[in-house]
Amino acid sequence: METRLLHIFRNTPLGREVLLQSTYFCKTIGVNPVIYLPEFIKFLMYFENDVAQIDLDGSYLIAPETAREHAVEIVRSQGLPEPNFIEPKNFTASTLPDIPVNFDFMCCPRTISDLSSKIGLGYIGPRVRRIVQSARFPVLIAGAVYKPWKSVAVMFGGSSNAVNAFRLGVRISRLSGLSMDVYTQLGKHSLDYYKDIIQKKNLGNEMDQYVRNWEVFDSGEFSANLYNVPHDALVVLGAYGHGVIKEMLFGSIMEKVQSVLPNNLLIVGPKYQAPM
Amino acid sequence: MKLQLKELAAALNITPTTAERWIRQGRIPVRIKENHCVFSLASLKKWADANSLTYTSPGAEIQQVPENPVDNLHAAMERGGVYYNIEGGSVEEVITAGVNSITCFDTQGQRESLHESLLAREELMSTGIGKGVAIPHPRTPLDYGEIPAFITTCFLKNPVDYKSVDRQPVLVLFFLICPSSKRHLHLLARLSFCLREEEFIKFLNQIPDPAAFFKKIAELDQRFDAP
Amino acid sequence: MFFRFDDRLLLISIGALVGSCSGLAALALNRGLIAMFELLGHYRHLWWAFIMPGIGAALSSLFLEKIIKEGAGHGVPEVVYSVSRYGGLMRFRSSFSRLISSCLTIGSGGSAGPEAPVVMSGAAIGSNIAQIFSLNDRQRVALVGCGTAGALAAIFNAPIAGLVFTIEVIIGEWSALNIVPIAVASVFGAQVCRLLQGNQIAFTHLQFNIDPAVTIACLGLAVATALISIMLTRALRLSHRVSHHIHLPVWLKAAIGGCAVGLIGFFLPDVLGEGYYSIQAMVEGTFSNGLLIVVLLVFAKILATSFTLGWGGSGGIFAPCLVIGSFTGLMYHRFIEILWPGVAWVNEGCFALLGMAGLISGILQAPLTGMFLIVEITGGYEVILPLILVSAISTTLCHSFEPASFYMKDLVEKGHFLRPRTDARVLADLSVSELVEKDCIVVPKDMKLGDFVKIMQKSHRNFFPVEDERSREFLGLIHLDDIREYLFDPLLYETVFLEQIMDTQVQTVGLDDDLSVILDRMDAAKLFSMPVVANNQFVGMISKATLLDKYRNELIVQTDH
Repeated sequence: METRLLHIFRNTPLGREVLLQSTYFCKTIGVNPVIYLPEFIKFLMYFENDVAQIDLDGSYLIAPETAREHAVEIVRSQGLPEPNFIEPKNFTASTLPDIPVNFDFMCCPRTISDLSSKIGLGYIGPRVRRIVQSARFPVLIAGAVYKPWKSVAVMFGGSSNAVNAFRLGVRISRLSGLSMDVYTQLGKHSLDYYKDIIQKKNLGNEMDQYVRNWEVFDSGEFSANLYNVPHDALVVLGAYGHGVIKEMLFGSIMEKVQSVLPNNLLIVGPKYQAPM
Repeated sequence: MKLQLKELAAALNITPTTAERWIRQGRIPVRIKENHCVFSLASLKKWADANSLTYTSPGAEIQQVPENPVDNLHAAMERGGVYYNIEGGSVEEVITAGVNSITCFDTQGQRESLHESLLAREELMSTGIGKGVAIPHPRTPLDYGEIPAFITTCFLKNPVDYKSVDRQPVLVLFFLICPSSKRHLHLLARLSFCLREEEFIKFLNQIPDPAAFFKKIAELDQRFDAP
Repeated sequence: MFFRFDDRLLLISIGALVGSCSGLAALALNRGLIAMFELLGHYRHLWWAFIMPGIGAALSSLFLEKIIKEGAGHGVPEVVYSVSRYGGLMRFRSSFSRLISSCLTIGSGGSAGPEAPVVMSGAAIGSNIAQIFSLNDRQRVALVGCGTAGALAAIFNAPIAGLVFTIEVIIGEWSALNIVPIAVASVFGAQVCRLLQGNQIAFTHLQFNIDPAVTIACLGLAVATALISIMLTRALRLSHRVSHHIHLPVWLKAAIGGCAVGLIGFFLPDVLGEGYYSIQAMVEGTFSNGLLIVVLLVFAKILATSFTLGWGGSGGIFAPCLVIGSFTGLMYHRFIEILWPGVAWVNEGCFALLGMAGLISGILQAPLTGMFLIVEITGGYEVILPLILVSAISTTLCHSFEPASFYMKDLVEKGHFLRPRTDARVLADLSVSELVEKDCIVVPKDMKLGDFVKIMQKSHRNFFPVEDERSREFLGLIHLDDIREYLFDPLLYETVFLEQIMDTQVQTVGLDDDLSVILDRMDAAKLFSMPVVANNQFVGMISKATLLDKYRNELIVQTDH
C-alpha cells in the first residue's frame, strides 16, 4: 500500500524550506506527501495511548489564501504530482480539529509551537518531542534551509530504538539507492558487543549488503567525533535509548547529535513499528 | 505464547489491521510487548471459540496447503488402466464389458451401482461425442469412499453404433469416474482439449500400445498446462 | 504484576484510585467556590456588583483560551466524544482546567453548576491514570467512567447518582465489567468527600405525606417540566448561535454575557451562582414569593444560564437545572393552589423536589439519573412514586420534541455519538483497509480482448480494474456482466482493446472514507461492490458480502464480555 508523509505546512519562507526538504525526502524514497494547512492555532493527535495537543506558533496561520497554491507549487517544483491535502473530519471542540495519525512519516521543523526565532541547534521543541515519543512513525526533523542529502548515516548505540533506526536506515538506503554509513561510539562496551547485537537481531546480511562503512569511535568526545559525519547525510537515529531518569543524568545520544549536527534528522521513537 | 502480529492475524484468519485494533481496544486477550503479541494459547482459543473464529496454529497451516494437487490426465488414466479388444455389439454390452474390466473397486457393490448409473446416463442421452469416441460417466458423482478420480480407456474389438452426435460408430471408450463434479469438470476439460486435436484422433484409431498411449497423454497434458 | 492477569481486579483497584482522585478534585472545586463566595460576598450589595460575573466569565475564558489553550466546551459532550471516538483518550490539561475556570465563573456569580467541570476533570484523571498504566481502550473507558462517577458522587455526596449518570449518559452500556469498577469508584469518591467534609446531605431531609392526589397532580407537573426543559435547551442553543455569529474576542463575549447575568441578578439575586441556597429554601417551604415572581424567576434563570454558558462562561448545566426545576415545581404548586383552593396540598417543598427531577430527566433525557439524584440529595424515599412518574413522563415528552438530549445533540449531528453495540459503533470501528479484497487481477489498458479472455479464466472475480501500465494510474473497471456479449466473438479478440470496453465512470472510495458513507453510496447507486483507490492507484475491491462477514464478526466480538 502507498506510504505517506504528513507535513504541516507553514506559509512562510521558513516553511517553504521545510516543505522542500520534505518533498526531497518523499521523492528520494518514493513516499507521497500529504499536507495539512492549519486553519486553527491548535490541533490534536490521538495516538495509541496518548493524545498530544499541538499548539502551533502563530506564523502557521499567516496568509491562508495563498497557502494551498504555494504548497502545490513547491511540491511540483521537485517533480512530484500534485500532493493530497487532509481536511480534518473530526473535531474535539469546534476550533480543535483531530488530525489522523495513520502515516508512515511526519515532517516537523525543530519546533512547531514556539516562536520560530527559537529554531536553532540544540533545541527541539516540547511538542515535537511529544510526537516523537508517542508516534508509530519516524519523525523527519528538517534543517532550517533546504539541502539535498546524498547518503544515509545511522547512529547505532545498541538500544532497541537504535536497532530500529538501523532497520529504517537500511530501508531508506534500499529505496533511495544511496549508500549508508553506521557510526558507533564505544563506551563501556567493546565493538564485539555491538556486533553481537547485530547478529542476534539477524541484521548481519543487511550490514554486509548495504553498509558502506561502519565507523567506530573508540576514543575522544562523541560530539567532536560527529565531525566525521558527512555534511550532506540524512542522519537516522533512535530517540531515548534509556529510561527517563538515566537520561536526565547522562543525557542521550539524540540530545548530543541534535545539538551538534545541523543535518536533517530522522528520529525513531520508542513506539515505532517497522512496516509490515 | 509469543507471535508476530502478522502470524497472529493469519492464525485467526483476520487482517493484521483488525488484529491490531482488537488488541488496542482490548477485545481480544492478547497484549503487545516489544513488538510481539503475547497471549495464553488456552484463553485465546477459548475466546476464538466464543466469537465464532477459529485459531489454527501457524505451524499446522503448512500441512493443509497441498490440499489441491493438480491432477492431470496422465495420472488419472494410469490409475484407470488401458484395456483392449473389449467385446460387445451394443452400447449396453460394451459398457458391461468395460465396467467388468475396471479394477479400481473394492467391492462388487460399487461395480454394480456404477454399471447401473452409467446405463441410466446413456439412456438419457448418448455420451458418444463423435469422431468415434465415447465418454461414459455417471450423471452425479458416486460415493466410492477413498477412491481417487480415474479414467479407464477401453479399445473395442469392433466399432459399435453408439448413437453418437455424428452417427459414427465408436471405437474408444473413456470411462470417467470422479468423486466430485469439480474433479469431473477438471478432467473432462483436459480430455476434450485432447480430443479436439485431429492428430490425436488418428493416433487413437491406430490402437496404440499402453506405453505409446501414456507418452502421448503426458505430452498433451504438458501442452494443456503451458500458458 | 499479577494484576495483569486478572482484568477485573486490575480495573477495580485502579478504579478505586481514580475515584479517590476525582473525589479530591471535586472537593477542591467545592472549597474553591465557598472561598470565592466568602471573598466576594461583601461586595454583592454594591451598585457595580453586576460587573462581577462579567469579570469572572472573562477571566475564566481568558484562562481557558490563552493559558491552558483548551478549546472550550461544556465538558460532558467532550467526554462522550472521546469515549465514542478514541477509547476515552483525554488530555492531561483537562483534568484541572475546568476546575479553575468554572470556579471563576460560578464564584463570581455566573449562573452555572460545578458538576460538568468535575465530570470532565474526573474523566481526564481516569484517562490519564489509564495512560500511565498503558491500558487498552476498553479498560480506559471504564476508568474514564470511574473518574466521572467518583467526581459526581463526591460533589453531590450521591454515590448511586454518580454510578447511574456514568452508565446512562457517559458510557451507555450496562455491563457488569463496567458497572463493578464504576460502583467502587463511586464509593471511594463519596467516601473521600465524607472523610474530609463530613457526611452532609445537600438538602435537609423533610417528611412529606404523599397522598394519591399528589401522584395525579404530578402528571401536570411532568408536562410543565418537560416544557421548561425544552425551553431551556432551545434557549441555550439559540444563545450559542447568536454569540457564535458575533465577531468579538472570546473573553469580551464572556464578559458581556457575564454582565448581562449580573444585571439580572441585581434585581433577582436568586438566579446568581449555583443557587443551592434558594433550592434549600424552596424544599423547606420557606420561599415566600408569590406566583408571578416565581414565574419571572423561572424565565430569568433560563436567561441567566443561557447568557453564562452560551457566551463563553465555563460550567455545567446540572445546578441550573435543579434551580429551574424547583422554581417550576413551586410555580406549579402555587398555580394548583389557586385552581383548587380547597384541597389540602402537600408541602410545596415536595413539588420543588419533583420539579428538579423532572427537569434533570428532561434535559439529560436520563430518567434514572434524575430519580436517584433527587432521592440521594434529599435523603428520603417517601416521594419515590411521583418521582418516577415525573421523571419518566418528562423524559418521554422531551424526547419527542428533542430527539437528542442537550449534551448529545451536537455529537449526534456530526455522527460522533457511537454507543457500544450499535450499528454506528461497528461501522466506525471497521476501516476500509480491513475490508478491502486484494485478489483482483489488474489489467493494462492496451491489452487485447483475446489476451484478457485467457486471464479471465484464471480469476474467480467478476471485476477487473484497468490501469495505465506506466503510471499505475487507475483508469476504469471491467465488469464481466457488461462485456459478456463480446466475450464469445473471436473476431473481436484481436481488434478490441480493454481501454475501449472498460467503464470509466466508476464510483470509487478512498482508504480513509467512513464505512457508513460508503454504504450509503452503495445503496444509492445499487452497487454491491466498489473499487478502492488511493492516490490514483487501485488498491482492491470492497464488497457488501465481505462487509457482512466482517460486520458480523465485529458485532460478535464487541458484544461478547
